[in-house]
Amino acid sequence: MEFTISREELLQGLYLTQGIVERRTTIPILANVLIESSDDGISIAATDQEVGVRRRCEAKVKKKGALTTNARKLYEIARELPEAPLVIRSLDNNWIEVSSGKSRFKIVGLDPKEFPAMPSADSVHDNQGISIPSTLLKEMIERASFAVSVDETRLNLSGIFFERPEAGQLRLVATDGHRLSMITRSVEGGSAAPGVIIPRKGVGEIAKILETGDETVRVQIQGGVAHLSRGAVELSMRLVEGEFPDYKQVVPQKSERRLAVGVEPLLGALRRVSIVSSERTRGVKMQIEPGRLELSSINPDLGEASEEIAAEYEGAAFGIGFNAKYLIDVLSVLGPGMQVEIGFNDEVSPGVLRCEGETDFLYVVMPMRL
Amino acid sequence: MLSQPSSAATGRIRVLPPDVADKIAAGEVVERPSSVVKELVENSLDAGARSVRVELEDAGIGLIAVIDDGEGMMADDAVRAFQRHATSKVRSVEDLFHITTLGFRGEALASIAAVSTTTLTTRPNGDLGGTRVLVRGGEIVEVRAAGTPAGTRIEVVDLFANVPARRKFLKAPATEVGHVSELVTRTALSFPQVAFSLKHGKRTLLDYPATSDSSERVAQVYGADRAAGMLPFHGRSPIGEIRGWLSGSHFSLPSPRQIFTYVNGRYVRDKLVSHALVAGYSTLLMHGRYPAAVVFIEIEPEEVDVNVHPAKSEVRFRRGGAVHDLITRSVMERLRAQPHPLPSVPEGTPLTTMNPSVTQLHIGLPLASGRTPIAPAFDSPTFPARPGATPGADTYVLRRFEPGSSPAVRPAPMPSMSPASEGEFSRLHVIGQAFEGYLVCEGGDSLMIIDQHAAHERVMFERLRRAYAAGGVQRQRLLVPPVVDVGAQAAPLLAENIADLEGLGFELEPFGGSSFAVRAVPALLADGDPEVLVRDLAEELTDVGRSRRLTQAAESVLARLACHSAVRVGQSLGGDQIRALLQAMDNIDFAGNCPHGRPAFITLPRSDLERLFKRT
Repeated sequence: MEFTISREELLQGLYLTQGIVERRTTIPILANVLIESSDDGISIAATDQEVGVRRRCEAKVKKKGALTTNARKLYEIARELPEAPLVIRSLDNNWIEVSSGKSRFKIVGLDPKEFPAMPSADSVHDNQGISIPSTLLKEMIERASFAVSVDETRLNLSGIFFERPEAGQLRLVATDGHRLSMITRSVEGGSAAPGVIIPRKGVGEIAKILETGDETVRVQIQGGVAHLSRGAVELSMRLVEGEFPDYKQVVPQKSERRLAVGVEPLLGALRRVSIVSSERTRGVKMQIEPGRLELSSINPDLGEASEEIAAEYEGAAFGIGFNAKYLIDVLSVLGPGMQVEIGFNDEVSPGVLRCEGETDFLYVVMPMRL
Repeated sequence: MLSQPSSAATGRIRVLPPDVADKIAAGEVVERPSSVVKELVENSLDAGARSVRVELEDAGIGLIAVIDDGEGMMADDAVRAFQRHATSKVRSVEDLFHITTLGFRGEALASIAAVSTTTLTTRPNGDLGGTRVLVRGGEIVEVRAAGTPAGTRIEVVDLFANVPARRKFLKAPATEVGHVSELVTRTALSFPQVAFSLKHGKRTLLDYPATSDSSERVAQVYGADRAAGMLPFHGRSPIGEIRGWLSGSHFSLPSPRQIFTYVNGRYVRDKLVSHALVAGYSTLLMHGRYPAAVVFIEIEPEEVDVNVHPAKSEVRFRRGGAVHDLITRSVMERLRAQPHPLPSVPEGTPLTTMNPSVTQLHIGLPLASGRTPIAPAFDSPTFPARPGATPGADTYVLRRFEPGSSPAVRPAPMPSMSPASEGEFSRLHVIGQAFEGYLVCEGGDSLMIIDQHAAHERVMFERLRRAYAAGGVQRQRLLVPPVVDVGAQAAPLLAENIADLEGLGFELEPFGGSSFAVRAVPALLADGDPEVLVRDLAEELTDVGRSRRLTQAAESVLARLACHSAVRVGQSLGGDQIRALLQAMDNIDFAGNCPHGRPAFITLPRSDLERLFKRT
């Protein structure tokens, strides 16, 4: 195989593979990228057998074929080279030559036939997928991913639940057992479909392909695999096997007390007050009274802090405790100018946070007994 | 009775009256309700029963009934069964060395009858008439014909009514029922083809339908979920054969209670066997953690002496070394072939690519939830051939890092605001982490070596203890309360202590049977799996039993929870994590030992070091 490619195009193709190739792999070829010629250029692919990415790149192919070599080293080489076209060609015994200007590299490769297949369902090409603008999916992921469990042993909580509750709708739900974030948006196409769990690593890779631009993303779920395509990039990942908790049960039907407050003042006050709270549990007490909200924390090792902010509330005074991190997490992904409404029933029932003017986002957080 | 007045001249040594001798002998066999159940259930099994039902009233003091559908007895056999050393199972001394039945001493029924009122109702299959024998305090009171289903039904009432001392030493009803429940469970595991049930009053505690498949029985006992994670294994050597199920390396318990071992079908609790089993896990288990396992060992009857202890849970092997080898090797081989427990979440998953806030968890005192499977030995091509060998010792390096190089995760504390950072530990110059378990530091004129697990455990324990002392541990409520089956032995203990458990940070709600819904867990430990926490709690309460009230046992419960959530040996710590740990160590009143009493750090003065190098 031999082809000429611009440095920029090669870097773009390799960038997406860097998070996927395994750092400490026991299967050497998983640290490699697979480069194959296609009709109008080349494709660059990497997989860890759970998540796989492939990007088509413009290149002038002189001799068709395939090659595979270490993803990180090739990326480093391309990054350090000056801006000029690169010529990459395969030599005997899977060696690869990279040359650009006066620089020449000869690096080891492996037999491309040994390269593992991308995660794939038996037949991906159905019409059941949905199309969604990148910015929208990006926002949805941002508002859900922080609630994914970090406990690696609880597999069913270790990803985002993607569901199509009705035709033309996409819903993302994530929970770690203490709080739950749920966002629903309209999308093009697709009938109602039961949810699947997209693994945390896959979510990270999706976020990566959504970083810039506003092209449409196509999402298809089939046969235990999620398949996303956007422009020249294709991403596929094996779904988490396991049953996602029945999240609808968790959402309180109604809230007897409602507090309305600005994101910015609440977030600032929480950050300040939680400085003295216990480093691990971040317990902060909210004392809610008509027209105001007082946040306080006490830490026997350190001292105490309190802050009062203005809030809309009518009703009897009421106190409840939360892990400040759980509130800071959600407020940080909402626009600072926004106004949120938090609903409560009593000090042991979940609090429900909604954004003013948005009916399709909802955050449920369990209180802490301080 | 032993000190009856006797004339000084005559001999002081007397032959005991038979009723006294019987009671003494009974004491060896019949210690508590579960020993009665054990003897009766074994008799049922030896009689070829396909179904064994155990029913208790008042934790066995009111009534113990064992009902089987075994071969039953003719009238004269039914009477003879109550005589000491009457048995159908052994006829000569020779037979003692070829024992294949469970019971053999021929003293069980006599012993039970000596300390209770016992009714035996039996009918051989095929005979029309049955027999009922009533025995009170060892005396046969009545023998008469009686209609009854084929099989044998034994009812023991007023247990220990005539031995008040024995009755006084019984534990709380919940504990005694727990013992019976454990007994039935361990017996059921080795007889899958027999149906077992256990009722206490109106409550059915256990119900294991008969099955031809022993893995089905394992699933009945452990629950389908847990059983699915257990690895079947098998091994063979000239001394015999071993088979069973092992939990994988990602699962462990704080006590060996869920290890069930059997030799030739007989349940044994033998040091050699359990040592060999744990040795098979080698470094996959932390010190003090145990697997769940069901292990059947089949060896020639001549190779094992079961006639060691009246309770018969110990055995003596003629060639202990060979048995030990067989067990350890088989376990090791199976675990080596074990698939990675969590294949879809590779270690080192870069969380940062997704969301920076997730990584914040690691900034503070880290890794409490780090139940990362400790499986280094699997990746290592040199799996230790001997138990106790350090796997891949040559791969351990003393890793250096620049203490100042911690990326800007934590804002530099202002000295005046952070007295904690001035402490003895945080002032240490960290040289590195050795063997992924010890922090090597230099401070003043000494080297200090800190056991990371012991130190972190101590830190967690102190935090929990302080929170507890300050009026209760903060509780994080759970969105979806998981339902945890803690087992029949622990359930009553948890149920009795629900109110006090809130002070420890747990909110539990009985959920039928031996299950509880977990509404809240200690906030300090909330990163972990709540089910694991509650199981640990249940184990600890069972260990502590009712000998102390929960409020007095709080410390040991907290110690166990702390141990579980602390970083492990084998976990590599980054510079920030080490700093955070040292700082946390300054914040507590450091007595220098982990809650289990092991030292958390040692110091090596420079002068000693120099002496070692013969510089002085």
